[in-house]
Amino acid sequence: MAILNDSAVEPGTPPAESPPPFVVDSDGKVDLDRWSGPGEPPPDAFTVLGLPRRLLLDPKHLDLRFRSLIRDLHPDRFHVSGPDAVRKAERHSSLANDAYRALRDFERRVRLLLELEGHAVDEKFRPSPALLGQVLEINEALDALQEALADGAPAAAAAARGEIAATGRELGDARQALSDRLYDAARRWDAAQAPDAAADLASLARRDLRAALGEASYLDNLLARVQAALLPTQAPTPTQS
Amino acid sequence: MAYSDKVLDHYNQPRNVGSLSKDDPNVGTGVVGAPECGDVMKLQIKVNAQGVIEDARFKTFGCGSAIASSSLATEWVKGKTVAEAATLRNTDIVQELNLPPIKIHCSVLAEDAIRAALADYKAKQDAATKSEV
Repeated sequence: MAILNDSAVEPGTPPAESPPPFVVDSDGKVDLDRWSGPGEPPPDAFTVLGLPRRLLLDPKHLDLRFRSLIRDLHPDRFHVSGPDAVRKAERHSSLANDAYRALRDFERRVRLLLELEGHAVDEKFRPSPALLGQVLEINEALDALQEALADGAPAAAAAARGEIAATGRELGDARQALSDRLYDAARRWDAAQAPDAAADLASLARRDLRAALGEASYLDNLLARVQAALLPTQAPTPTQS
Repeated sequence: MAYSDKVLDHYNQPRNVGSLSKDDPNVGTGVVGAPECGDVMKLQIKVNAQGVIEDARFKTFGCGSAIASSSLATEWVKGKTVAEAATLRNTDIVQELNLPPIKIHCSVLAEDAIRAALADYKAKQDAATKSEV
């Protein structure tokens, strides 16, 4: 495929032996009978886009793959072949759209791949004592903010907001560090897919990925609460004009 | 499922809410959290020279059962020795509060909080003894 030859080789570029997209047959022709629809389990996102099961994908490559596939599958191209072909093209287009959405976001991709490999992430993350201390601080500050707002004490409310924001920044830093850990583990997982890689490298990387993702959900929930508390909610909602 | 009367009682009138000084060498602090729901529970004990827990405080952010479990736990450990407090089991809390199966993790959290507070107290005491030598 031209895309593979044209794309600059960057870290994370899929190897040249990427399979063709699911809907393309071995002669490079679009075959709209590959998937017969909702009655049949859809192929996974990697298969749909013709990408090897790797965690680090070059986003430019992913975009090119997707756009070229969407062009090939555009229902307008199949009008000449009749309504049945158009319907099939639509079906496969939506499959390609779903696959692209599933793979575009790095963390979503990690979750998907672990699931495909039979190691879905369980969200039972055990927060460290230090993190729990921060959770407690945030909760206390959130309570203080509620009280200050109820009492109509703007100075106390501002102080509580300041505290929430400060802890929120710490949590944001922790979240960033976690992303770095995820990328590192992803690199190791990808490297462990080489035929000559030691068997325990993949399981070690997988363990780290699952642990980091569990922690990421926990932090994301917390950060969402922090953000919600910092929104200027007490202002009356303007009516739609 | 409706909360039992005892849960409601502790929830509406929680006992021993508050904080003790974290830096007091006679105070043990345990902070634990539930991975399932983001509940967080702080339980503190103050131990006197005879090894008896003379005061206990808690602060819990979570559901009614979590608040009731920690409230009950502070009531129970007060007046007990450190060794006695360590024998408290979550099943005792489940029984007393009539917790439904899906709320059992709240009682586990309370037991964990007591253990963490006892461990923190012990660590502080050990450190104090060491620095005296």
